[in-house]
Amino acid sequence: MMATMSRRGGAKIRPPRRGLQGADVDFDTTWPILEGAFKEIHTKNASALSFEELYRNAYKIVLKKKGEELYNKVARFEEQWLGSTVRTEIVRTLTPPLTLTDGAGRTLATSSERRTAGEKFLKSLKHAWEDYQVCMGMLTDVLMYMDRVYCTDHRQPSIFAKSMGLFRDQILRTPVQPASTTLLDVLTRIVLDQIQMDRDGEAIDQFLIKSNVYMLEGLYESDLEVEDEKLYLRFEKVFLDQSANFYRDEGERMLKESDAGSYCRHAKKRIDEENDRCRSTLSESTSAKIQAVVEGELIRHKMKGLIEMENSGVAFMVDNDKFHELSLVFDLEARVDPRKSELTRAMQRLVTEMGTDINNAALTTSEATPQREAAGDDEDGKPAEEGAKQKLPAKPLSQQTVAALKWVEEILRLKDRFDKICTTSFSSDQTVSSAINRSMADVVNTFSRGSEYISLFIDDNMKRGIRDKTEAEIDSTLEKAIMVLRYLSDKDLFETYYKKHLCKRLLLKKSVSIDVEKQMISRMKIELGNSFTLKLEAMFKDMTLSEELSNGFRAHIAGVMDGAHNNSKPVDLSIRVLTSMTWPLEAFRGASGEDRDENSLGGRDITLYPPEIERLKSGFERFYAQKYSGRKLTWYNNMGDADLRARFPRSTRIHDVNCSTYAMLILLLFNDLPAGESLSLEEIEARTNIPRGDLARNLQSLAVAPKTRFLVKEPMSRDINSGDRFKFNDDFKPSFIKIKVGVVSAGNKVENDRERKETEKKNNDSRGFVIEAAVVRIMKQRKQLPHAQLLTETITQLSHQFKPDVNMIKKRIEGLIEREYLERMEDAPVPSYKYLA
Amino acid sequence: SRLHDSQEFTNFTIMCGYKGFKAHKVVVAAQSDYFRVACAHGRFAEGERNIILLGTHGDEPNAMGDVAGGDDPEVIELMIGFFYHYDYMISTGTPSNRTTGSSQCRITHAKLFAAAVKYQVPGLRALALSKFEQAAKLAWQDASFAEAVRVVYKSTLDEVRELRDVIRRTSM
Repeated sequence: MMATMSRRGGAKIRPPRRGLQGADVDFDTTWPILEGAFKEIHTKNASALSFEELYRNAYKIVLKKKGEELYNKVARFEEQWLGSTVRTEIVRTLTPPLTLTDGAGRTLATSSERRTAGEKFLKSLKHAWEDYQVCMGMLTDVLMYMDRVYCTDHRQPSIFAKSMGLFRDQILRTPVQPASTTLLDVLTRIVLDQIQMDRDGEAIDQFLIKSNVYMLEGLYESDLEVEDEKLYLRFEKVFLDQSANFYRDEGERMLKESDAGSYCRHAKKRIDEENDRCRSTLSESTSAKIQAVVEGELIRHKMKGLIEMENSGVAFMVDNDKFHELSLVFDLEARVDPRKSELTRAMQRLVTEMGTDINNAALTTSEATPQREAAGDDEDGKPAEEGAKQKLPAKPLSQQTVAALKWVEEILRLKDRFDKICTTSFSSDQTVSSAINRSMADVVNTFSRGSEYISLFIDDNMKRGIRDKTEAEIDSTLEKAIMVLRYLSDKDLFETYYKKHLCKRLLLKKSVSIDVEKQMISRMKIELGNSFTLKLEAMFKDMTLSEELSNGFRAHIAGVMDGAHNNSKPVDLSIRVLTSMTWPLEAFRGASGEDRDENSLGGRDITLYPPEIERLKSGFERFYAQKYSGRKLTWYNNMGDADLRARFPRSTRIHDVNCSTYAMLILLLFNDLPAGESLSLEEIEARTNIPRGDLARNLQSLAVAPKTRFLVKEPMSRDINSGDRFKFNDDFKPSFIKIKVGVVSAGNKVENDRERKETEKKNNDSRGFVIEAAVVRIMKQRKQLPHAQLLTETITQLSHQFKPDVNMIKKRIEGLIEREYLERMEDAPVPSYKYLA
Repeated sequence: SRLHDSQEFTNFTIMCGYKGFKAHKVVVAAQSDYFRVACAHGRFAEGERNIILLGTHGDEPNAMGDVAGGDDPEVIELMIGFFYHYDYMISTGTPSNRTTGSSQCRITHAKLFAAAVKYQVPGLRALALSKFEQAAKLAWQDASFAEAVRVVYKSTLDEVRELRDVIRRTSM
């Protein structure tokens, strides 16, 4: 039938035949044709071959169900071809520089000899591979039918895959000589050798190596061609191991021989290098793995050593403001540790070290006793108890105040320094910044005088520091105080000191600007909350009210005086009315420890005033009672001062004298004394009722201190003793028109240790109450609470003011249980308490 | 398809027996992996010389009923037509064959299927199969159906199931 069809149309024209000699379909006659063609293909003579003929022959065989024999024949052919012809060629390139090794496996040739010999080998292998790929491509074309029909159905690897496997086995896996290394091992060794040369800075043929890497990536462990089993991975593992060793050694060497900055730069260079190497010489897939190796060996394992390097490590960098080097270290550690733990720890250590130095320096300064100034000296020129002699004309600060100011400035400088490092070198990294801040807080809080010193800093500024400063400068000073205050956890202790200092400033009119005082208060409100500032604001209110009262009283007097008493000059009264309990008046107790109020006897003021003053006092009391009924006024005479007009024999002018109230009382006694007469200590005491201590101090000002020696003391000595007599000093020559008699206890002495302990004790006591109040508040709301939670909540509530000691809280809870505010719950899973209404 | 008719820009000659066809490498190679290799430059002789000589059956002894390797030029012609038109039309031939027209067609479809398998033309393979199936549904009791069956079994490997499946299905 088909023959009929083919003959339809006339004479058949036969195209020229090629190759076929009328052969039958017998396998044994067809195969040699194919075999011969394969040889031609492998020897690059394929262009002379007829694809059609070869294809048809293979097709015939498969159709005759001889596919399997064909497949096996081809496989054996390739195996033979590879094993003898191809491999021989490659082995020929294994010259002595590559094979001569010493006992340790190192070759004995020079590196350039090795490199040249290695390149020959690599070239040979590369060509063999590339040629083989092309040839097998063509073979696959010829055997297309067998591949697609026979192989798929019989689950054989394609002829291409099969032959690749043969290449792997015959070329790479067969030992060069029996029981010796395989070409794959040789390849690995040569490539690693060249990479080492590259690392040492020598030039190598990167593309040549990469071509061989392509080969390794194209071959698999088995004919199944599983993705994870590429031959390349075998090489990669050896590469990674060897690199790890290399970098481990390099890291150690560099730590010993180099400096931190160079180390960082070098590490980065190596990382970049390896990345490039993967791209140009090996495989991009290795990039991440080798990076991990380098980072692990050069960075992670060496980080601590790097940071602690003597003479160039982080400590050195911080001391010498090496911002760039610090950023290098930061970047380096960031690669292996997102938290930069080592660097953070090192920074914290430095902060603590430097901070501790600042704290210790402050303590040393404050405890040093200089030759001239005794500890506890005040500011305003009044001689201390020990009797310092001449005062310097400028008012020197006490040693303590100096220490306090210095401490604050140094703390701020420390903070600034590390802030700058964080911004410049660490890109304001959160983790590191917070850690440094925590250490700063520790520094501030481990300093026993922190609260006091911060208050002193503000105090000094309010009294002198902000004079002649611009608004911006004042602002920044206030901000500085707040910054240090933020670190402080014992805010309640600070409050105590601040109240004390503020009280003195207000009452003694030492503030440069009330406005700035109020600014400080509002800033503190933001930081510390309202409760803290309420009492302080109350003080200001009292001051304003007192101003109004003084003015009101003045006007009232003027009205009254219009009629009667026209011969006596009105004494101008400036009054300050202080709400008790708001003002920490214990600040005005004398340094010698007299804290009993000797002013009053059973509440009544017993000081003896001259009649004019007495009239003024009662006048004001009446005036006040009219305005505010039901209030009791207590006079504090030891805190007032008076302005007098005085005439001295040796001066023609009228002088203004400012002195304490007590001093005024004493001086007025001498107004009515006949010339030449004197008063004894006891007489003065009797006529004024001034407490002995105050009396002595004031008499010292008036009779001993040279600039204000209005009185002459007999006998002339520094101390005031019984029997001393005093008379007006006719010889007194005043140097100035305005004379100020030093007021005792004007300055804010920095507390001596005893006072400090007392303040702290008081503070602790009040903390006890605050803790109790918080516990009761919490339990009332929650009714029942486990112990642990009660602790945490209490601490949280009070964190604002201070950090409560856990044992203190426990003791207070015990106390509350005793007083039946709470009871323990017997049958709770964890220890718990119940609120008793 | 216009390209086919105009014979412009052809760059490849396909010979089979007394028939020769001019074709475009691009068109032909795109649809058959066999021709992709054959047309390729730098591989085998055909690609270099731009001519391929397909062996005809009948060149071999035992040509009668043997399909060992060679092809029918008419079938090749239809296949080349398929490259350009995605279809083929079997001319019904001389009046004497009219009655056996459909059975002839069946055989032709089978042969085209075999050629598609041999020359790796998936599109033609599917088309020939469906045409065969159609034709097999009509007049299958016909004696020429046996002939078609023989063609199928001889011209394709056991493994090539589709045509045999159709036969089996229609026989039931």
